[in-house]
Amino acid sequence: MAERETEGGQLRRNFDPTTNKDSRGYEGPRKMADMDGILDDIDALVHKGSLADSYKQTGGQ
Amino acid sequence: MALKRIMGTETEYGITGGDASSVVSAYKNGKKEHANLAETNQSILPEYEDVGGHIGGDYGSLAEQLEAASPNIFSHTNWINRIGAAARSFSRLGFTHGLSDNTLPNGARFYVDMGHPEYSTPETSNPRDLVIVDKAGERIVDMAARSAGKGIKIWKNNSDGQGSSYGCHENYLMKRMGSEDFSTKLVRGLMPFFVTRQLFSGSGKIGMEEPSSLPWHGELGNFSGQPSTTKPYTQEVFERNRDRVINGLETLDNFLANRPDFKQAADAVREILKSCNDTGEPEFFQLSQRGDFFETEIGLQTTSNRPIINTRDEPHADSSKYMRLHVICGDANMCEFATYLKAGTTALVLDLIEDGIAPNFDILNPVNSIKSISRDQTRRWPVWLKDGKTTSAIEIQLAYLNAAKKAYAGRDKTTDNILLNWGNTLEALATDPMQLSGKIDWVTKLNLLARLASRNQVTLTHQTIKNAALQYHDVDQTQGLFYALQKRGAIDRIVTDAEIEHAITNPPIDTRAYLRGKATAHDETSGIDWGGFDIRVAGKNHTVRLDEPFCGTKAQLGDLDGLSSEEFLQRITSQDGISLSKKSSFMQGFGKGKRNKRKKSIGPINPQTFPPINQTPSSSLGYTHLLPNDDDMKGGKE
Repeated sequence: MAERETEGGQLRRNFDPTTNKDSRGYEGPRKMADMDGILDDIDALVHKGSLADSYKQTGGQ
Repeated sequence: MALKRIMGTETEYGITGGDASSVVSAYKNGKKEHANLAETNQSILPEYEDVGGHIGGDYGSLAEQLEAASPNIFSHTNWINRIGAAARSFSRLGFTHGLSDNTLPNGARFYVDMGHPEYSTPETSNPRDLVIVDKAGERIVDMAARSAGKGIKIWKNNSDGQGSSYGCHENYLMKRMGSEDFSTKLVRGLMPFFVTRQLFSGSGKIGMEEPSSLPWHGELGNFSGQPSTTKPYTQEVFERNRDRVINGLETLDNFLANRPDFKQAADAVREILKSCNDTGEPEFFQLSQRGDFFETEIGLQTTSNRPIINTRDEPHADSSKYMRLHVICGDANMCEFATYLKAGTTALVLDLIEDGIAPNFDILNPVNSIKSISRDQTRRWPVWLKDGKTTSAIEIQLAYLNAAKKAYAGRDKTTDNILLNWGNTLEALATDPMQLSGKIDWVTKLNLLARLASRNQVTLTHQTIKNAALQYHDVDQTQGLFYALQKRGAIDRIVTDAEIEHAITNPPIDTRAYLRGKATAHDETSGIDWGGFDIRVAGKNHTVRLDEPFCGTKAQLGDLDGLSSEEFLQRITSQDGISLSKKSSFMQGFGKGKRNKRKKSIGPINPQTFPPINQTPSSSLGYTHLLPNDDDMKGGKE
């Protein structure tokens, strides 16, 4: 079990990277690497034109 | 005392390919079949079981739902059927009035505001339910856009990158406090929290915008009464301004270096200089969509010279007992977790403030800090205090967390769950923020954009990456990039699609939204508003006031479906927190045929017309005010 600690030492919890859970059963945040396998699908959805540059809204509250 | 606070959101959506009126109008006429949802991942963490969940429905507990859910419940065909049914219900709702301002059967309000389709959720009693109704709002607006015509797109964001911002406001009911307490307790207690909570509530943005230096724009507003505009703040402008600041600080540093009496000031300047020299990565990504648009600390206005703490106080309830905290400094969130944590932590901080135990931090310049935290590319998020000391946004949040832990840990499951997630989130932010991808929006979005940029060998400012940044906020579940991630399991869920779908047409059952939502089923009701409605029975008009937001619940009134209007009126008569009065003769028939064409109580035009915080706008109307008893306060979970 790896001990993780914030800079201020105010929060401690035991986190097991092999199970991605801490001692209370909390599931650790998803790893960035999880996204690698789905970028093909995402990239296909991305607009290749000037969508963002032409995106103009009226000011609201 | 359990965590139980009335809360809701009001979201102005971005729109392209059509106008807001056509979308809101399409809601009542929605007759088209709506696109199916793709199958979605249901990786809900067990820790959210029994947290909130007062929306109702015949789903049983979350654990029961998951256990009962066979794999094919999420199949493509199944969702076509389920959403098709929802769409048919949607088209049968039969709103025949209220062209661009509807009260919905789920107790929400859907209307046009400042050119945007705006959805105000029904009141909920806890942050998890708020996530459910907020997500239901996304689907309602999306379905209405589909009904309005091809090519209309709806975006849940707050900035167009070209100078305009539009809000996602939060509302929290609080105990009434006087102006002195407002300044000494509420503002002091809230300001440091609001300046820093963007660490987990920010939705992320490429680039910056800043108010124009021209006097007829920006801080002064313009003379036509239109909202102030903010200009894109390019990397070039940023670097030029940063260099000016650094040059000025270096001059000051040299000046102070020879004056021992000013050692503290000299140290502070060096600290700032150190931070400045670390900032300014070529590709600029900031935490908040809204941070650029705040120009003052406290104020009533929402469209120009926006304040961090907004003083609009319309409780839409017994104003002698309640006030409404109207929060305008937050971002619209796509991540369920972000909405949950944003609302949950704010509710806990309000508990701290009402109990007089909130931490104190005198931030040197809150307006500058809300921007500098958002823009800090080092992700160290320093905050300068009035006493000359420097702290960090994380340390400020930790102080709030520790105060809440000390006071409320063990109070109830919802509180403990928020405390746990708050702490874990701050820990991740302090060590490696990217661990929070899938939980908070700015990290999820930056993770996605950085990978797309790397894959395509371009920078974050490339047109394609800016498109992706916008498409992250597309509420279309077949096209939006957030939903593409969610569909593929990269987003943490805390509510189920079944709960969201149910909340499209059903109100929460443990707030007055239950009675309001059920009132929409009767042709004889009219003028349905947050605080009440009119109903005409046996030739007489009755005004129903709902001045106690925790009354009018299902636990109090029972099942209201299938009742005649006479039975409906009889059921709600002589109930705690619900007052009825007959309209005077000159008012007879006033509301006839105008169901749901409610008066607009939240005017968008001139915020200066709203009463100051100490006025009680509805108390003079002579409403009957009754406190709920302890049993009423237990909520209405089925």
